[in-house]
Amino acid sequence: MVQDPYKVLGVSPNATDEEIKKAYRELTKKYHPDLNPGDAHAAQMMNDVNAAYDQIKNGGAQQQPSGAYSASAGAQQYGWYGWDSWSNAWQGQQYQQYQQAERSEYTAAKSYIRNGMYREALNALSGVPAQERDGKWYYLHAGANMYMGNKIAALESAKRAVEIDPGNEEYRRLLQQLQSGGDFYDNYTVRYQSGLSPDRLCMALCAANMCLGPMCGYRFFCC
Amino acid sequence: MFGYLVAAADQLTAEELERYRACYCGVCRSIRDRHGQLARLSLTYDMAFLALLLGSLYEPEERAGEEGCIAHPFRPRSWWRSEPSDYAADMNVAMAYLKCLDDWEDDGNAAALAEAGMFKRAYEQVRSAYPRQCAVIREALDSLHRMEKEGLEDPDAAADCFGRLMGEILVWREDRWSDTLRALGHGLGRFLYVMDACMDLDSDALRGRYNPFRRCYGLRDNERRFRDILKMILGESLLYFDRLPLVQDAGILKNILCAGLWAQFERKYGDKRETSDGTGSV
Repeated sequence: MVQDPYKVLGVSPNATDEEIKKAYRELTKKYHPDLNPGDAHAAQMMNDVNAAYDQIKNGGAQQQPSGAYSASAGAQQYGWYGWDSWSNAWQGQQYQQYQQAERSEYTAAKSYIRNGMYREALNALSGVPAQERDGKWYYLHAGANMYMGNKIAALESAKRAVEIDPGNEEYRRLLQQLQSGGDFYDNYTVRYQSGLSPDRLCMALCAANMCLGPMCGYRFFCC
Repeated sequence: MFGYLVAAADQLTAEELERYRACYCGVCRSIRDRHGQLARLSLTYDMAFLALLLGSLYEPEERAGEEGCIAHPFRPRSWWRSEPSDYAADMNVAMAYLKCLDDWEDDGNAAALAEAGMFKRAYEQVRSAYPRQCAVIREALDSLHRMEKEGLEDPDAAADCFGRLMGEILVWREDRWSDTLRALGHGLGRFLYVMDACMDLDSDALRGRYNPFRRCYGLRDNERRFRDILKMILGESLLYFDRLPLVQDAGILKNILCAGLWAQFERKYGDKRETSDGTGSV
């Protein structure tokens, strides 16, 4: 963690995206090792400037983006239960619902998902004949696919779950989360077309919602 | 490649447009110098995007000029090129060669084989210079090929192949930006694949050809369906794009990602009220 990343880059905390990038480029040119061979101070400055830029761009997270491949961090690793009050509340609600008889395929699928066995979960779900697939089926199907990184299938199934059961809050939340990438794209595009620079707060929020970083679990899916 | 990564010319300033066109001409000249006149025919604007993006990230030295060429013999065109233009030219040739081989295996298309023969020597050069990229392009196209053969209608899996391919192509060098570039490329590749699949859906279905969205053929809400999927993928890509410290040509690159790459989609799926009275939406 560097001091104040904005200070290191010599810009105000309210600087626009363009100003930050310009400042970063100027400083990395100035301290580039090719221009300062053997200069320990320049090397240190180069490191600080890089770290400051990463800190601003990644919203404080120190990692480089983990890549879309690992975006499907998975329920098991990042805890699909117990990480925040939201999910605890949902679980409580669901627990009661589960007291009523539930299809064995759903129970199996949920257990697989909890243990990070998404392919097995999809397998269990495929045992339900097409005409008997209800909102819950599509919800679980969407969740397992999301964790596997199959975003297209996840989006399609989440839409279907909401279509079948528009009143279900869980389904809507999952769909909302899957659509946050698209919402972000709209926001970015509108700002581009009106000549504004990207909204950095929105960036950070959307990044968290889209769960691209390795630190975030999928917030709105639990079963 | 597909040629979907184009700028919306009407939303560029005059200077941006000039610079964008000259970038394309630069890549085209790179292909001519490195791989011969005929290889130029395979060039698409996707590769101009690659040259612009890497040029913006690394800001290497540029050469520029204004000359006529085979495609524009009478009106001299301005061009500029740098190392990324050469790289884009090489990647274009590698893609073209491997794609032709694929087409030939696909339907024994003799023209495709002849074309592949034309690119073979060029490809061998590119492969020895960029083994990492060429290995992934090959592997990804092979996987896609297998899915098509098996008729596996899984849009995520098919798009992922193209994502891996683009992800590797965007990583010109391994350095502190490679993870971000690879993730950006992974998104853009998936986008391009899905875009192409939904553009070809009708003709593929009619001719009984493979299309990962075949089960959606003829559905009424396809416009909304594909738009949502494409925007979801692009939203992720933009996050990575935003992490790159791009200043030079940033306006053109944003134009491509925010507006230009929808051009063909809008022509096909866009507002039908306009097209129904014959005015078209172009």
